[in-house]
Amino acid sequence: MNAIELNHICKSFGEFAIRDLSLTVPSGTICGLVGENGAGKSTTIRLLMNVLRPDGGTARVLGVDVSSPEFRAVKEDVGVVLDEAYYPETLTAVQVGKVMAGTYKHWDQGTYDGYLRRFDLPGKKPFKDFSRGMKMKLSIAVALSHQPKLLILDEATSGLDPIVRDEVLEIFNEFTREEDHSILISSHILSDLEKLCDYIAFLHRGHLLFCDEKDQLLETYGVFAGTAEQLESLREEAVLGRESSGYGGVRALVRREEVPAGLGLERATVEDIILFMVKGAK
Amino acid sequence: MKALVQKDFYVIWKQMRMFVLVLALLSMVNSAFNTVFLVVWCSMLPYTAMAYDERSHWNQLAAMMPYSKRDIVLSKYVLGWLCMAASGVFCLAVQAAAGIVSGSAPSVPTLLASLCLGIITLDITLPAVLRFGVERGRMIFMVVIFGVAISIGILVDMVDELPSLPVPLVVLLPLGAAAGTALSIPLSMKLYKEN
Repeated sequence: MNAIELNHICKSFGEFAIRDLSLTVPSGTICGLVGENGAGKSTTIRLLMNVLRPDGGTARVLGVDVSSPEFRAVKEDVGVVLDEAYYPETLTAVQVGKVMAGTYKHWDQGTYDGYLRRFDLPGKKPFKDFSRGMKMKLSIAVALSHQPKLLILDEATSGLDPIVRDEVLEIFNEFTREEDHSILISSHILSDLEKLCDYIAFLHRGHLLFCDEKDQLLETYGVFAGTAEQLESLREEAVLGRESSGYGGVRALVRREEVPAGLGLERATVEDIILFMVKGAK
Repeated sequence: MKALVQKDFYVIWKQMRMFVLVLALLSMVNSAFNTVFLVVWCSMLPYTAMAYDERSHWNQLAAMMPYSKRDIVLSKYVLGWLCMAASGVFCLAVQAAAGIVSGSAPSVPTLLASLCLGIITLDITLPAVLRFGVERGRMIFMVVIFGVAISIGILVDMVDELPSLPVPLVVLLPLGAAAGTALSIPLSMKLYKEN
């Protein structure tokens, strides 16, 4: 079963539009959603959770059509962390736990208390006095404490220091050890996604440029560094994006299979692939 | 829905401590105006909770959780009713205690009329606030409160004499509250969904 299926989703907001978005996240995998600010990542998440109605297309989460009445019950199995933690400012972490215990049927108070301790979150301090990192940690604790099968994370690791970020990524990794657990995570920190994800989906101006297995992506693309003449000798289809590297040199993202064996290529990171593709698209 | 009401109680708890103090002071003076004022004032407490919700963008998060729109809307009515009922019981208790000294008994009919007025106020203002938000709904809210206050002013003398009033007013207020609620809740649902 697929955890997430978006089929030909369209949504227009006047100048900005999501166009013909089809995306599948197989159950048991982690998919990273990448894109610039305003590319449509948060809109995609809102469409997935039926907060926004699409102009066209269908969306299914954990096998259920999000526009059906049954989807409300499915939300019990979906843990969501948004780009900001939107809890009312006077609430404390203990009060948030009590409210969530009444919200989710499968709320596990022991798990929640464990995360509060693990993240070193104070129980009785008002939410307004939390740092951004603490707020995100509280959101993550809530999302993980109602036995979800799917985590939808919108910039969930932003604002966390590198040590906590690493710990949180490890928690997300642990989460997907259950074979029916899946994650869709959007982030600007591409190194995190490279570390964590099985699939990378790249949204650019409301259009999905690709959704591929990460390992496949890293095998398919390489970074060429050499002279402009060497680059010109390659077929046009081989080059996806280029930049000047100074002193007449160029760097370019290329398809490995289109490049002669004698031409040495550097390993491309996910960040290289995304940045070159954006430049290529422009 | 219980969780949403619980959340709102946590949010307004600090304000409620101040309310309880004002309630205690005003309740000691056994007058119809004070009773009506306190109960109607308490019917406005959901807007304090909604202002906090708006400031924190709680609704964006709530939309991701397994709450129905019906739960979200109804929870505001329930919160208003609970606050009014609590203030009414509190008024009655303080007036009864003060009556031991002064010899005056608390007026149950006045309290019931106050509850009806509070419910009607909530019925009129909540749909507008749910549609336009607390900030933008404030103008409509103020106009309604002004209207209700003038009505209360006119009614106060009559309400003092409520036991001797002709039956229609005693029947009309509860009927008005029930009819207002029956109309207000579906309207609020519709406006909230449009939001």
